[in-house]
Amino acid sequence: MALLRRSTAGLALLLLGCPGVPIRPDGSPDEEPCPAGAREAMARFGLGTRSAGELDLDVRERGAGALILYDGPLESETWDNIEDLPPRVRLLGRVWTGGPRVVIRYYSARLPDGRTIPFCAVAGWNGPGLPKSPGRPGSAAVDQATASVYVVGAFR
Amino acid sequence: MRAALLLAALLPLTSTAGDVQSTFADSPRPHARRSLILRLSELRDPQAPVREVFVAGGTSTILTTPWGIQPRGTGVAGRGENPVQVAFGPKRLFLTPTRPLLPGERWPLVVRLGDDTVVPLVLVAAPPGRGADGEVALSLDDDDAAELRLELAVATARADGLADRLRQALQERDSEDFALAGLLAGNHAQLTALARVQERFLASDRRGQIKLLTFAPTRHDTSKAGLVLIANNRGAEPLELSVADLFRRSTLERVPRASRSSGSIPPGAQGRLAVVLDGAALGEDAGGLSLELNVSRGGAATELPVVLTPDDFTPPSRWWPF
Repeated sequence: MALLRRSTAGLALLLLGCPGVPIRPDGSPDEEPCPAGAREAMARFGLGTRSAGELDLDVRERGAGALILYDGPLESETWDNIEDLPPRVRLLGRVWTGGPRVVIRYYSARLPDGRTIPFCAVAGWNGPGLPKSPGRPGSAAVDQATASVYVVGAFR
Repeated sequence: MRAALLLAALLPLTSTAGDVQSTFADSPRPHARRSLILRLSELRDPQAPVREVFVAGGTSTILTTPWGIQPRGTGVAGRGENPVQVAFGPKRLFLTPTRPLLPGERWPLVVRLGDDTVVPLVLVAAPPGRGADGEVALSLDDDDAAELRLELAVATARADGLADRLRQALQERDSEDFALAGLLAGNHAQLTALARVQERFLASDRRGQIKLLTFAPTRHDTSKAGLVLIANNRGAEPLELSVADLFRRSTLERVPRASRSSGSIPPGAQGRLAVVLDGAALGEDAGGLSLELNVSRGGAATELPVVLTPDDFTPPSRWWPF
């Protein structure tokens, strides 16, 4: 029975987003530190907590207009440079749609030259998180397929 | 001449010192304008063909004469619609088509000089690859002196303009506000004491988006505020953003500003226009400030007004970490 309960919880976490990130009562992911080496890797590109840029939320669906996001992995792409980070960098992260705002945390970045570095940033609109329209459990609609990306010192 | 060459080397600085709409428009970019000298001896020859003057929609062609021009007896002939506006100045005529002329469209122009000489001309659209006539000089002389005098006058006017632009460029180079605007335009806010505060879309359609970002100081020892306009050009022609004006809405008083842009935005690319101003100016007028933007695509410009209030630069308490 205990094994069944653990498996069910693990499956729920897997379905809700990044395995191991607890979910708050409001449905948003709990705090977690940046990936190891992320701050150093970002600092080499001049990135700090005042750094921000623009991105296309889903590389598979670009353009103006609304977008449906689903819990789970997401690949976004930056528009132009952010400090010394070149343009058109792919940001790899995860989506949580259960909370008051859609939370997207980026854990790694794939550079145009093919290298992947640890990353610590969140998508947002007027701050971390995206305003959403409710959808089916596990999904939410956002007004625009583009958003801002904010470099953070930890995921809060 | 050396100064002119130095000015030409410095000038590619893409800088300027001063409710959701779709603001993208289409029209071809005009080519360089030429100067034209018409000698009266030719114009008086009854066997000579009527000389054509190339004009372009929205662009003024200036016709100058050695004597005055009699308004009575001068004008564009034709019935019904007259697409060419004619304005009189001292010894000159300003010809401004209100729309582009069609290929093959011809509008006769009669100019009666002060000595009652009648000069017939015809206004036509500039052929492909040619520009509209900037200046058309009616000359008394049958030798090259008239042409040289016109070239000298044009060169002198350009040199005066270049000197002014050089002074402006040197002033901007030594200005902290312009340096700050340059950093914001290059998305290097990490190197400044400003951080992004708020954002909103100004325009969004199939040809692209224009987003407004505001920046507030992260320290208390500076009153500077910044804003950045980011354009994402999904259209087929280059896009340019520039600041036309910034003024207080209740008094219409101009507000000093420094701006820098990333230049012309090619199709498929993004670009930025940054403006730095004294944040105190925002709180001095209850009506806020009005930022007048020029958005141009393919040579056609549209104005985009943006209202700025202190709330636009107020850090939200929800997440502001500074």
